[in-house]
Amino acid sequence: MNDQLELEFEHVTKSFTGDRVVVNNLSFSVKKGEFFSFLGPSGCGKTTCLRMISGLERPSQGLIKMSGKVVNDIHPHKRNVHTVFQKYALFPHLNVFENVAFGLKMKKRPPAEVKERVERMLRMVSLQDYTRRSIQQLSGGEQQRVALVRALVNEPAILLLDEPLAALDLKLREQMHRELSSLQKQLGTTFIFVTHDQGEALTLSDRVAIMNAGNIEQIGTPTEVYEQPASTFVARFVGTTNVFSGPASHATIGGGGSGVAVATDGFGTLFAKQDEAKPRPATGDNVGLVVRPEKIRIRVTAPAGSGHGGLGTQSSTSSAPAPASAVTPANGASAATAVPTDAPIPSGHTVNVLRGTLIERIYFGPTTQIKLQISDRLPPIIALVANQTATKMPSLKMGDRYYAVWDAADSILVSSSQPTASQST
Amino acid sequence: MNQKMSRRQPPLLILPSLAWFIVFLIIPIGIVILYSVRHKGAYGQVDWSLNLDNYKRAFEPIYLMIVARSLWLAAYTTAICLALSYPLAYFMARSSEGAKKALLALVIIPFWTNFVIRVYSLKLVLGEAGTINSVLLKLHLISAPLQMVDNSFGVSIGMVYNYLPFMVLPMYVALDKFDFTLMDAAYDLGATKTQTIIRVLLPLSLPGIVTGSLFVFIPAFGEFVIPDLLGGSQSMYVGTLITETFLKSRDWPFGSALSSFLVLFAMAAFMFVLSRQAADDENLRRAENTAPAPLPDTKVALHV
Repeated sequence: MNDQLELEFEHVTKSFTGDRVVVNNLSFSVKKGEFFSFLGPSGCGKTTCLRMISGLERPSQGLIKMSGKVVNDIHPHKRNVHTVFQKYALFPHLNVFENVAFGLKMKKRPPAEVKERVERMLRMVSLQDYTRRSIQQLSGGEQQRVALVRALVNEPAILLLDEPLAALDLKLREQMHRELSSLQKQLGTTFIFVTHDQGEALTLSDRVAIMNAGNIEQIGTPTEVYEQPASTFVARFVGTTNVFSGPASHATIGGGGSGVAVATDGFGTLFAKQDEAKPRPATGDNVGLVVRPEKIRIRVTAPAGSGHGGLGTQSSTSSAPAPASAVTPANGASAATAVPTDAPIPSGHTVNVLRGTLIERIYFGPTTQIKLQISDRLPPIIALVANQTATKMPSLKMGDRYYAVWDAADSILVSSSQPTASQST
Repeated sequence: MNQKMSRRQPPLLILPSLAWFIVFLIIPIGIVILYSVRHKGAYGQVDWSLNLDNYKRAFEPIYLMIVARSLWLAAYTTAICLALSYPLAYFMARSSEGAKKALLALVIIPFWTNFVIRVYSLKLVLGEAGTINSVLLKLHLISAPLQMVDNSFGVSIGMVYNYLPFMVLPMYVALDKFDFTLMDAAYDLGATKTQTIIRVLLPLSLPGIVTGSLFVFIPAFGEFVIPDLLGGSQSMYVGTLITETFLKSRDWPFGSALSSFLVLFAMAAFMFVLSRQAADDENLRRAENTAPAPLPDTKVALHV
């Protein structure tokens, strides 16, 4: 067995009474010292995964291994795994010190050692003066920190965090993000984090597993899941996105390499570059074509030589038709991915062009999100404009018609998931 | 300003219940105390000359024996009710909402039958020719009927049967409010099942246990109907003693003295519990005061 692996799931399935399969045949592994997140909508099975790791639930099928050893039948209190619960689950009848000392007392550590370790941990989160406070007297953020050190004081091999920040306000949450990252780096503990907040998952994690209906849709680094989503579900769940779908066919695109043409319903034919590392979709396969809002440039005039309505064209000049707009990452998706692009589309690249009416304009500060309605019966195209360049161009007017232009190389081809996948913005 | 005033003044709406308590509780207790320091007249009437011997008489060994027996009855009734109720209340609290309602109804339904009828029906079930004995005889498990009524066994069954709901309900209320993820948290921190129950579940459901125990212990101590109906002639308890003193010996002053002791006992039990709670609160307050309260900077400094 690989020594570097802290945790392995091998074909793990969990079903509850009534044949409801909550976790479906999951296999993955987590490396030692990794910050690993489960990201997914509520009810996707991520909390059940966590409970199986902690031992509070037993898998119906499959094996769970820790450091190479099967732990299916090991009771929670014998596992070197501790959890920070969603609503902290601090003991209300015990004070701060007694809460943090609980685990060590259960292990019958000598009182002097308990005192020393508890106080050291409380100092770590600046709560050393709070030892005799009752839990009810603490603010949400303080309770959160007590819950964190109550688990960490036991020096677990794996720390599980079940949406621990959901109850905190935004500012406190950002502060806890920094605190969690630095604690994790400092202690070298493997963190397994469950959240439905994609921004949180991308900011904190080394790797993210995106879950949907008991399955893992994709596991990858934050950049991978954002830049190369494996499915339309992932694309929609991680960040704001435009998703098109339709049957694929082979195409040659400008800028080198082979491409794929997707005959969408209503948006015309859109082009994507074929990633050579990925299998080429067979002609006629239903695929998804994804483009991030920050990859779309907004134009007042049509790109030279281009057609409208999603007709791919050769970009004829080296400078892109003015005015171009730079873009920054999608809102909510944090700064984890997407490099702002102000560069013109390289000469000769195939571009996708759609024309629509500006129907919505939301000011975010550094960026403005706009929506272009292409046609009444189709969802609007979402684009993100950086405001530093937006001032240089004629201000975008509601009701005016604009061109949405993007490089075919910025289109991402994904497998088409079920339409039940929810859209997240 | 107005709000502050109304918070300090007792609202008018409590006047009816206050009047009720004065007329039907305070005044009767006063009358009982008044009677307890009088003589018994030759014909069972009350002789109004002052007499403190009734209280002295209550400490004669024969009466102390009866008090001890009653205390023992109340103690084991409480203990058995506690042992039976806790798992039941726990199970109810962990059931689905629908099941909770159904189980609550099952606990309460026996109250819809008259108390005396309920106790009497036990006599039919437990009696010599009762249901249990006839079934056991038919199955040849016993050769002669078991003596299950007209002795202390019958009394215990009757007591537990009648007082169980008084224990289950407060316990259920306490456990229903209990956050069961705290048990998960305890397991997660390495506690075994037993440790989790002792360290987390019991301390946090203690108010329910205390309330239920008081609800059972105090009335059980003065109970007289159940021992009378199911205990036969052999067993005398405080409750039966008082009824007999009033109705058979017609010694109202002595009966009043015994009753005063009973009231005193109930009050002492309550005061004890209240003082314990006050002490807990006081400890908490002291802990709060000694804790230095400088709020650390909200930005978290990690001392690496």
